Amino acid sequence: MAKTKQYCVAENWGKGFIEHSESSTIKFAGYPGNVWQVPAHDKGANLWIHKVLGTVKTLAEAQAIVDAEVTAEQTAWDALSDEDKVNRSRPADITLEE
Amino acid sequence: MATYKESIGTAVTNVAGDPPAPLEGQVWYNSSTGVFRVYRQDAAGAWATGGNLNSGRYYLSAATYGTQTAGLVFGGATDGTRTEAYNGSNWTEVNDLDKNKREAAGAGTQTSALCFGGKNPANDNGMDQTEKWNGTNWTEVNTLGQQRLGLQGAGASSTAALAFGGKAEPPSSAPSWRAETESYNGTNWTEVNNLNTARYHGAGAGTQTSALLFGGQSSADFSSATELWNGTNWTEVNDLSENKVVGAGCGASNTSALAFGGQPPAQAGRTESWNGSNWTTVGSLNVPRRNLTGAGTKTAALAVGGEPPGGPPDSPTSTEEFNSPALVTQTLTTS
Repeated sequence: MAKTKQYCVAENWGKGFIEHSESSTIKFAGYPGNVWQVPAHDKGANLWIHKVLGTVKTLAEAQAIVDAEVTAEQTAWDALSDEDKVNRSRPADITLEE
Repeated sequence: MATYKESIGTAVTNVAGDPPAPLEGQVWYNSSTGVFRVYRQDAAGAWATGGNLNSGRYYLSAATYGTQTAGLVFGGATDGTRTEAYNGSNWTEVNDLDKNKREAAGAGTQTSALCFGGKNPANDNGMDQTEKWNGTNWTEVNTLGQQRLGLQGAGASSTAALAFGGKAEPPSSAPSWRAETESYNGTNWTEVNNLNTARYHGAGAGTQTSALLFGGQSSADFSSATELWNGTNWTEVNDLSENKVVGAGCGASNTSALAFGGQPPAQAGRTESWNGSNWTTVGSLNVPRRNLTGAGTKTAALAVGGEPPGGPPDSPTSTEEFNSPALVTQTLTTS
């Protein structure tokens, strides 16, 4: 099955990173580790990755980055006191889509 | 299937031409040209990234009547006194709140704001403290009548605000989620009529006399319920498209609001626009999140902070700016 999504790593520098004209035509989803999901085989998405100097990742590579971030956050959560845990839900695993 | 009249409350009117001042979402039959017409936004609107916060956090609060170029956020976990001001491009740290707090409510603007209620991180108790911002400093003023966390706020300035919902901790009575509404006149809080459904961690929008509450939690269930405040009473109106908790909202009045973010995670980026009668799904947040805050209007909004997928302890610094196109009259077609 042809992939419908692609991934890249890019640091969100703030204003201008994603512009309204891009968001209105490209479906973005940000994940831990500066991983960004955008549509595959999409000229606008490819131009955006180029603009933000994104490093394209395969699904497996992107998943590994997200997993590492989530695992680190889960480990930090596990180390919290019971009192602090009451205030925060344990970070959930994230499965990226192909 | 419901008819137009059942959904909207009025029948489609027959107009010789177009009405001079249609309401958003209004549909009519143009008898001059023989077509159905609608007054609506010509596109769904979209979120773009804004300047990043200096201190990433969640469960923060905002001066909800602020704007995309003059915003103010304060409190939150894990930096519960910090206040930052936004100029449309960058956030700048300004003077801190007096009390460390999270899950508080906010109202007002960048130069005239109010922060009320919240959770004291030292003991997890609900708070009744109110702090007033004059553009430079926070000052403690008279307290709420009911201590609570996870409440919602509305109001255009530090002298005209509304507090509603929330959760008392420790509970003063069962259940712990609250229905009380309190109105602030610049000096004191006065209890006014209750919500129909007590809840906490919903989202609010509007002013002291024209407010909206949507989503939230009571018992174990998340809610999609929306209530409209007319200055005297709360009335149940049409629901959000999905149950939602710990999202954010903003808007000018009870006829013009935006709901965004929250959980369940599958809807964490969903954004819905309120026209006074119904919610319509518009462009999603680029970074789905919960426990964020918001300010502005339904056509020019700010989403700030919160927890991304993966959740705490890390919290994002990201800001997003929503803009939707102007309202236009369009001809309805069957395609």
